[in-house]
Amino acid sequence: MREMFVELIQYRGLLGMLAWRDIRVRYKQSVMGVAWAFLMPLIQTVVLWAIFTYGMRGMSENLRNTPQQMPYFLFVLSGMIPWTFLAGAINFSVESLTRNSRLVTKIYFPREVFPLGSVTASLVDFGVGMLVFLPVYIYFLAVGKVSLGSSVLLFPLIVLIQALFVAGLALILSMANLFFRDVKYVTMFVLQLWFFATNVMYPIRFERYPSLQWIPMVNPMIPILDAYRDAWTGQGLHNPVGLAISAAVSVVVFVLGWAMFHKAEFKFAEYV
Amino acid sequence: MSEPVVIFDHIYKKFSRGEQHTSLRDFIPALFGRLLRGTDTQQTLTAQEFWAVQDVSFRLKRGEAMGIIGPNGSGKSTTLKLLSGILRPERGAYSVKGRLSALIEVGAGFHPDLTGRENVFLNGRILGMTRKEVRAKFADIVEFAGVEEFIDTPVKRYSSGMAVRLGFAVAAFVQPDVLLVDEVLAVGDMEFRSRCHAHMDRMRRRGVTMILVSHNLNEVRNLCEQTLMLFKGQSVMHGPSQKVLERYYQTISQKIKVEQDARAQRDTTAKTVTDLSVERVEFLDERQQPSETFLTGRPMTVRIHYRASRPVPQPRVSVEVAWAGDDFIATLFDSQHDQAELPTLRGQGVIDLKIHSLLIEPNVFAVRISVFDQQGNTLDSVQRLRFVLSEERLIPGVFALEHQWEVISDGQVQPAGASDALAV
Repeated sequence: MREMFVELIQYRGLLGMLAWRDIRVRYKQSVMGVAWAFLMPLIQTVVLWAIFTYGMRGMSENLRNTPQQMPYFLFVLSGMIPWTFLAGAINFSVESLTRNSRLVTKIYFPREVFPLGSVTASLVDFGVGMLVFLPVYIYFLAVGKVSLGSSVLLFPLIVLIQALFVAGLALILSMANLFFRDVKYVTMFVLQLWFFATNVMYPIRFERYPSLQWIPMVNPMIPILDAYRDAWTGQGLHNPVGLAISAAVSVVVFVLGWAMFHKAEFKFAEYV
Repeated sequence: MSEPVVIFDHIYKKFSRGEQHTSLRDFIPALFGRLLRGTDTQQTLTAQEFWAVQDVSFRLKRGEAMGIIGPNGSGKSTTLKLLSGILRPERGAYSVKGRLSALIEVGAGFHPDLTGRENVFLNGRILGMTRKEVRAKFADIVEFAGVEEFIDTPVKRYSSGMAVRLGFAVAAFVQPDVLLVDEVLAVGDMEFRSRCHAHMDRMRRRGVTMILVSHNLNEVRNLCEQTLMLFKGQSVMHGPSQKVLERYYQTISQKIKVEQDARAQRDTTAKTVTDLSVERVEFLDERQQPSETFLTGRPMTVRIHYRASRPVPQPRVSVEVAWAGDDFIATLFDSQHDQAELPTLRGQGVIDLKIHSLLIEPNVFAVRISVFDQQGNTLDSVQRLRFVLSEERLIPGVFALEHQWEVISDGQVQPAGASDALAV
């Protein structure tokens, strides 16, 4: 266990380097370059906001009733950015080992750097997304639609919880995809389902469908997104138990994922 | 410094043939079983498995260089991968003191969309250099690779030679304590290759321990004082390079004899009918005895036994001699090119190609013999005949040229006394 950390710290430079490479490559040969990192969450949010505000007018009244009482646009944006972090990191890391198979079979270094590098790259995108979020948030603050409170201090903690969760998943999925390429496809559609089962564009409320009440219980992303919104609206956590469970799940997923990854690591070169 | 730097102690590594897990259903229980039991220490083989490396041991001290030779699939690369930690052995212990660097397929970490400069930094980090080290050596690396003009061009626009050179240059400047080299020098042009050799030589003198896997036996002899010969994963011989290489030449030539006999039998059965067929090919030594092993600088006769069902006027015969490893043609004998007008071939007979002196570096060669008719149609072609060129005395370089020494003093020509065996 100690050796795992020591090795990772030793190779942290490489992790940063790979993340840098991933980001750099993503925006090479594109005219807009890094601007895409700003535009993507913004465009997605505008699309969803437009659909739910104008396209489905009847429904949107109910939807605007968010637990945090925040403007719907801000609600979607504040959910979309962390969600993009999760989806981006998973989509990107699931193939991180197979994409780098030449390196995996030829040179030794802790293989964790591949999935964790992908997660780091997505975390940078998340940071860029926050740069989009902040002006919008400040606007809503200025017009008095939301208020700032001390709960904003929870923001780094929530990011940490989510990052651990995402990193654990990335480790597990990248490893699984190395042995079975099916994992990539399964992941793609599971992510899509997951998106709809998460409170990105609407609050998850299944009061009317008791048979679906288990969904918020097993989806650690719901309390995490709620917590992000609580942080921005300054109301304090309204579901601290949920967040605590999510945090516990994150730690377990991360530790278990890493341990499994580390155990199977030396088999990678043979199976990839 | 007599402490061994590299210890490889009774290492076993098994691989399995074919697909490894056909379904998730088999795999998941297996994986969990393994996780619970800890490291897979099973030492028995199932029907699908075989030992890729079996009971191989060696120790190297600081500054020593060892070559690993053996036919394809003998476990050479697996040994390097075990040493570098990419694979883990089933049994046995190994240790490497100090920084290890592997020149195994250079440029593996290159990303085609990044520029040369970006890739140098990335690859340097992958190979274990710190950012500071890469920055300090950047100019040297670029100069060594000779790609100064293109350093800010994406690597995808590089010629393959340029990419390989840059990859090697990065790896070469890592400054490891132990360097593993796997067949990387087969790439690049002659000039670059010799620069690499010089660089490796310098590293050795600086005390870098080196392990070199190569099919280029001359390279092994020139760079390593000791050699390990593997065959089917087992260590056959380990000792001074000269001795091991001699043994290797012998082993190969025996194998070739067996193969050639088998092929000769097979070939008589399956052949399309033309006016002429090559029945058999022999390589004869200076005593006109058939052989598979020849000595550098000595003569060799290639004897082609033919049978012509109809007379073949103005035939053309070509004999290609290629390095067995890479099919790169070493030399070509062609009767047309030699402007040798061969007489009409009738009935049964032999065509002899007499080579006066085999002035090529020792190696294993593959020969392909073709006979054409007047119009240039192939009448018969025999491939993959092999012979081994061993050395009577060391050729310092890739080839030897016929030569002699002469001194002129006071206008008097004075030939040197005892002439060199190669100087015909």
